[in-house]
Amino acid sequence: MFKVVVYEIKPDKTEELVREPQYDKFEKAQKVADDIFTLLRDKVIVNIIDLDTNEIIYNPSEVK
Amino acid sequence: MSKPWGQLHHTFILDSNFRDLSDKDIRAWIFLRALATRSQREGYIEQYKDHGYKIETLADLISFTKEDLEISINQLINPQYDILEQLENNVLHFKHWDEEEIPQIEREKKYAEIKKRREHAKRKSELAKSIHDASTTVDYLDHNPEFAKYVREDDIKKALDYIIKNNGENNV
Repeated sequence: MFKVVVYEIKPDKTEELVREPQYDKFEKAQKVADDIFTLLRDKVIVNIIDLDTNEIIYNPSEVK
Repeated sequence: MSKPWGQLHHTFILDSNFRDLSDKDIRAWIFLRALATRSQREGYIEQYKDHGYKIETLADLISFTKEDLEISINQLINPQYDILEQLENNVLHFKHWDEEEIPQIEREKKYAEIKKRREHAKRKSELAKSIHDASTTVDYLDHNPEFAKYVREDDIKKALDYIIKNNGENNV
């Protein structure tokens, strides 16, 4: 399972965890994460966590 | 022909048209240098001369060498390809050749030029990505007025719910 973790960047620059949708397939999680980052770029921080290892495995902002 | 590659490179460095090479041509140039055997390189040089040292020749070289190099040119020029990593690898790769063929001062000039070109390519790539993303966002807003409303109202939670509900497959 893969969890898309979304933090909203508040006006005071603090971050609030706002959504954590989960997906069976990485590709699905990646598509959602990419879309969230593309459409709300300056307003959110997005990561994908592999729930098997509990590690961050993808961050759209680091994709070249 | 003695040390043809060094001579050719020297021509490039001194040619003011070099500054007008596209990123694609720079990539092709570096890849050809990195991947070619010595005999292939001499072939490229002859091909290059046949074209009268015109900049367009580099693009011609791409198709000319496509089968010989056993690589996918489309892949090489694909913006999704990790071109910067390849550039790094290949610069290291042909550094060895240059030590044989090009004096130190020319090498330094060339590396400075490559570094400048690489940074330029990176900036251009980032800009292209930003433009693409901005265009994608505009398209999405046009086709998803409900989402656009949430963005206008700065209601990020509802905007996120909208994207998640549509599983990221709605006109992005």
